[in-house]
Amino acid sequence: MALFSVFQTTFLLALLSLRTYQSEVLSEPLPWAPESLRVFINSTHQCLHLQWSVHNLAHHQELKMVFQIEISRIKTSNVIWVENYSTTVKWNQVLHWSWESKLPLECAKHFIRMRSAVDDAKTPEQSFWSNWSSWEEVHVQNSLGHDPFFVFPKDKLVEEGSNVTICYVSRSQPNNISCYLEGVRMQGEQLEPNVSVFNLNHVAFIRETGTNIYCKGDQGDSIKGIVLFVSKVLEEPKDFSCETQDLTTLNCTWDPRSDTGLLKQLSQSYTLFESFSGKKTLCKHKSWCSWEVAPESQEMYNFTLTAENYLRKRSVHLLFNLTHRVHPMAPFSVLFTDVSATNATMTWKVHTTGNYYTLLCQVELYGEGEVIQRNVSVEVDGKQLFGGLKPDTEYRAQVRCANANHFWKWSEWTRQNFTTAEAAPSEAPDVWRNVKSVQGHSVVTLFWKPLSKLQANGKILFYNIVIENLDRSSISKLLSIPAPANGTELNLDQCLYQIHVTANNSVGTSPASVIIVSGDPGNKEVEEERVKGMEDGFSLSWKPQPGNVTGYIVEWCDHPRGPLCDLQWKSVGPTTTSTVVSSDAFRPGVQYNFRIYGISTERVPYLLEKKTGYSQELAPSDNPQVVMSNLTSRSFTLSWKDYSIESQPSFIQGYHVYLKSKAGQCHSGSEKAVLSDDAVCCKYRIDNPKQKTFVVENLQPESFYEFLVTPYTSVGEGPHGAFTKVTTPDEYCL
Amino acid sequence: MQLQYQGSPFSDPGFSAPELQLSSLPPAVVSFKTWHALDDRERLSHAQGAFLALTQHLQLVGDDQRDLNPGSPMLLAQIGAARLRAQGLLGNMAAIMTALGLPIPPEEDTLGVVPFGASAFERKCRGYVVTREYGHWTDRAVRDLALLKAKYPG
Repeated sequence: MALFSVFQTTFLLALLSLRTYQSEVLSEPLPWAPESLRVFINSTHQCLHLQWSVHNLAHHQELKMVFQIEISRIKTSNVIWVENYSTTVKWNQVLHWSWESKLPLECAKHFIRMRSAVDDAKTPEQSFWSNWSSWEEVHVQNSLGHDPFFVFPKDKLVEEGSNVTICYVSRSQPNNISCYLEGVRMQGEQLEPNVSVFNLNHVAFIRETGTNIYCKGDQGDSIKGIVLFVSKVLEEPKDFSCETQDLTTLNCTWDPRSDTGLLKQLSQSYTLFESFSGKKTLCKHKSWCSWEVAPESQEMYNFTLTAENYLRKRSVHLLFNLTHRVHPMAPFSVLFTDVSATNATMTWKVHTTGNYYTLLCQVELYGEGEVIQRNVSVEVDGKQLFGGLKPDTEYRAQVRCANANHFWKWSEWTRQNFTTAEAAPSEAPDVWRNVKSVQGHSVVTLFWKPLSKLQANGKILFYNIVIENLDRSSISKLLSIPAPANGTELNLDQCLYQIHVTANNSVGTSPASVIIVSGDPGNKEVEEERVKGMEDGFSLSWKPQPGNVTGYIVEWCDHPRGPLCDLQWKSVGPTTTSTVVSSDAFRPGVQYNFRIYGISTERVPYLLEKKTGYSQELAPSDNPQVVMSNLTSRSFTLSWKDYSIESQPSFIQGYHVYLKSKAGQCHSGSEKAVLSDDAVCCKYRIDNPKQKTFVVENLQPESFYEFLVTPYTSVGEGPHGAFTKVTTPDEYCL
Repeated sequence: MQLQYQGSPFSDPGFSAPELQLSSLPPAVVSFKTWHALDDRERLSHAQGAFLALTQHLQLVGDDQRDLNPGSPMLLAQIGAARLRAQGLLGNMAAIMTALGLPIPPEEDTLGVVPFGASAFERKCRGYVVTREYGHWTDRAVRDLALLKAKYPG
């Protein structure tokens, strides 16, 4: 009941209100309806731009209003868009609103209308809709011509990945128009009998010159098309960073990523904006920009780098303190002064800005197999002393600097080389001698080994030899032999001589090597011991001497069989009694003889031991020349007196005598042996290498025999070549 | 080569669209009977008019292609060369007409008002038509000159 009465009251009230306003409705329209509606077409952007105003507003009256906008396509009843636009309306204000159509505007007729309502709390009774404005038709006129159809949108620029709608508008129907994207047929939908629409989803970037989309009628009457310009999506700049070299210019760099430039769109531009100063600059380059720093003023910087193309903007930010981003210029004027054999002073300059901030400089010195590093604090000039350097050595130095407080980046290296001075040689040359007695005097050949670079401390220019006759206490000779020389020959008599050898460079002389030479070799007979060679040489050892020795020398010839012996030696210290002697000249099948000397404290060499051996023994390559004699009916004698066991490729241990006979029996003293050609013979063995004769007995008369004498060694025997034939005579013939 | 740069359908092998024409360019294609029956004056003035139009159209196409294919100097060089040859042929025609005592038609603006707002596709289309007609007209001019040479051996 109560409800009904409430309803009745409301109804009456409404009726009353209606009555009150009816006259107004009939006599004049709602005072705040939208009027002077104008539609502007931007077909390139497929946009409709509305302009209207609201009349009958009092001066300085501001009203909050809502405008409802309806957009229809093809016919007014086909509403495709409704939107409520709220805004505050002032007196005499022109209102604006825009709408972007997914479908190009040329493809269909569009219609637009709007109505308004007051959305103000102050006047609640006015809050219902005005009448609709009349439909505004939006029709984009296609160029009049004889073309049977048109394709839209022309020359559109879109971003990769976006959706695009294409249409064709045909003059006549029915039409059999087929459309292609890059030559591939597209499926469309008919919007109207004359208009078909194609939706392209997520268009891809194909090339900078655009994507062709064209349609053709089946009567071959025309080809029409458009070029769709697909741009790559503008990416945020990467690795944005700024630094300064001198606190007056900032250099900002970034990675622009892909270039979105194409035919229809310029490459993206970059702008730098700093918020504390409010300054902005357009960067001329696509990956770096310079910024002038106001001196002594701003320390904190807040940069925004914006990449912008026609379609999109992207920004990155960077906040930093200027003094924390100092990347100094490389130091300059690197000099080396006071360069001696072992010391050098390095000086350099750094670029200053007058701001007096301290730099930390790193110095590195590279020599032969050594590196010296120092860290130095520098304000204007840097200085560093180096000691303990090697004489006559080239050193490569480099220096770089960075901000000492708030390190950011090292400057580039600045490099400079210098060479230390020479110093006198530090060690005595390794000297040895060979003494030959010739007709009452001695021919002494002196040898020395060149000093290593470490010992020479400079270029060796000459060698000085002082020969002092100890018997007469006088200096016999002074020789100066220019380098490079590694020996000299002296003719001396049988006196005792003391020979000093020094190596000299431009600075001074080395310590002296002293050796005593006496005319009389006086070497006692020394047993020769056999040694066995190994792959890397000969391992030799000797008995230590009871007396004092200053060292030992092992001497040998590299070419014992050649015309020149090529004397070699190895010096070892007094406590060493074994060593490995190796030489590139050692060959298999060659016997090398080693003499071991001890050097007494008086510098006199004494022969201690002799060794001999082969680095590798080889089996003999030929057999001795054998002479047969004393042939009887039951024996004959073989001899090979001329065979020398000294010049063989291995140590001869004995001989084998092979005897081939028809009988095949071997008597005592021999054993049966089978040769490589399967011939059976008797083998006699001779264990004494010095034995050079042999009697073959127990033979049969009038028999044919063949014999061979071959030496045997630890690595085999001589070749089993041609056997010598002999026939024993008849017993009764003499 | 020009067609390769334009993309599909122009770059499709064997592409041909004889229905595409430009109203400002006289078409070379004509029936053999008609062509053979032309008199000297008509023959030469047709050719003359065509090559005059071609020099102007090739200039337009060159400008179009400079925009459409900016990174292709070879293409632009080819168009330039074609234009020079067309001008050469124009000179040849004028010389022959003078020798035959025929009046030389005055130079006229064949392009007229060019719609500056031509879309990229429209420009590709006209590039195709111009280069096609250039080829056909050159072939036809060769036949024309051969015919005249046979007629006037001197």
